[in-house]
Amino acid sequence: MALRSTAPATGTPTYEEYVAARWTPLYRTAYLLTANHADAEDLVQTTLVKTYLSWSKVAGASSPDGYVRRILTNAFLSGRRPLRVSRERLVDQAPDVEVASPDSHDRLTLWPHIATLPPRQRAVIVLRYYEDLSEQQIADTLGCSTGTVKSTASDALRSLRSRMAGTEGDPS
Amino acid sequence: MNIEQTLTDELRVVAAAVQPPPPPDVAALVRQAARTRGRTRLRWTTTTVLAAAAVIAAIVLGNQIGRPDAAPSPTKPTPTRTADRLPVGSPLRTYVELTTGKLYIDGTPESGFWNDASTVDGLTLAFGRTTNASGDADVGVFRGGQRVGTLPHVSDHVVETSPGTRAVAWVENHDTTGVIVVAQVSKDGVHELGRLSVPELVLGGDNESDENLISVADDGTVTYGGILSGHSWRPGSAPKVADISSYEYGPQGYPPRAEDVRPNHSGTWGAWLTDERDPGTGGGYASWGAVAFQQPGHPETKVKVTLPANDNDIRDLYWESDTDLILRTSYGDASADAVKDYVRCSVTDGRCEVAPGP
Repeated sequence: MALRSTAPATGTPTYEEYVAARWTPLYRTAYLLTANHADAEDLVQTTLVKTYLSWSKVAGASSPDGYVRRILTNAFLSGRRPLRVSRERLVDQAPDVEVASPDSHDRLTLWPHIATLPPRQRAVIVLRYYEDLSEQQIADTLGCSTGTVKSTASDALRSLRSRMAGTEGDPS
Repeated sequence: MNIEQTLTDELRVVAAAVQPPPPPDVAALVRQAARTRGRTRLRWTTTTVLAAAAVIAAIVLGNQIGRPDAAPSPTKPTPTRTADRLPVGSPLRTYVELTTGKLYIDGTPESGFWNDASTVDGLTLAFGRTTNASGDADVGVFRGGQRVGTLPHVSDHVVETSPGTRAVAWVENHDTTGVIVVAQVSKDGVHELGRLSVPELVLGGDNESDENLISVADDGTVTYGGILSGHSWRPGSAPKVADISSYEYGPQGYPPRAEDVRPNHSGTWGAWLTDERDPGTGGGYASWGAVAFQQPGHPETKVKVTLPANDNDIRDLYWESDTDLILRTSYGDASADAVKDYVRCSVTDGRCEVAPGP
């Protein structure tokens, strides 16, 4: 099957080149969001399919990576809902808090708690502290105001501090 | 500890330790994209062909809904409504003003600072801070507009509510184990009935033995389990093996392609968003163009409502009551003003209205 490429001769990558170049960083971001490999792989594949469908817009965007990051983050959030009063909530997977490297596992004090934050808080934390985005960039990515980003980040940090305090006070 | 520096360091350590699988075959991605596009075209074509019949069906349906003894419609196409201009209806019964964190229940402001809230049969659960803006996050419990209790340390902010809203259950994450907490809710308060430690609750999604809290009954009996096993437990007794197969495939009785069906609290109707927009075309934002709802096992009751063009960018839905849905709509590509309107749709007459804040 012929692959569509809208890349003009200006150095813009083709879709194939983009997938090859961005698979690993997208997967790592997806893993930080989902905290397990199966969901991370699904999320990135979904993102890349949506990216293909809009490749002309993505390739023409001032920041293709920002555009795709927005697709990825919103695909993640649209698959997970906030507080719900539901008696039909089923097999909503708890996050995997394991880390691939056993050596690094002992040193990680916050990651197990990050992985249990609500999805939107987790997204803000990952975008802020891993992707190093500004509050305005996060607001643009999530489609919310900077005030919401601030309050969400504040809630997440407060929750993490609280959980850390609880862990440190745990004799076990 | 400098928590922000630690966050940066640890996220980079975790990301660096992740070994991604090989990238997918690009041709397979393209085929998948082609199938997605094909489904969208098919849906569009079907909708167009049925449009004339749907208008008639909608009129017929409008005369029949709410009359259980009415004869079934002689036509089979799914009624599809496209509202013109939405009227303004009554205010949202439960509303959180996000800029101030103020929670309103039936128009009455409550103390505290809140991010989200939902009400079922007079029981409101609100996530936020019960005391002041710098307090700890927890879940506030309101009965009939009065705060009757607080649930601290709720994992993932998910609280299961019993069908009669007399009991609630949630999971506390204690790192090496999860603890199911069951409580009775009355107008006088929240009274804990018991706790059960279940290490499988915190194993994680990649572990086959991972388990989740599924439901709670009015007598406090909880159901939990995962791929390998299911259990029920009533406070004061020992856990028992339970068949949870009916929970494994989500709500039953809806079209197989309906995604993320949300049943109302009593399970008499389910609703789902449909006509998903490609986030890529909307600037990356996920949204849907229509909502559909039906009674489980009764496809003849299915109604699809497409909102008018200036209000049809639906982001999410929830049930305000057993008969009223609330849709959160937005401006298409907006970044700063994501929420445009809350739209209330009634499953009894298929009509929608703007639901303003209090």
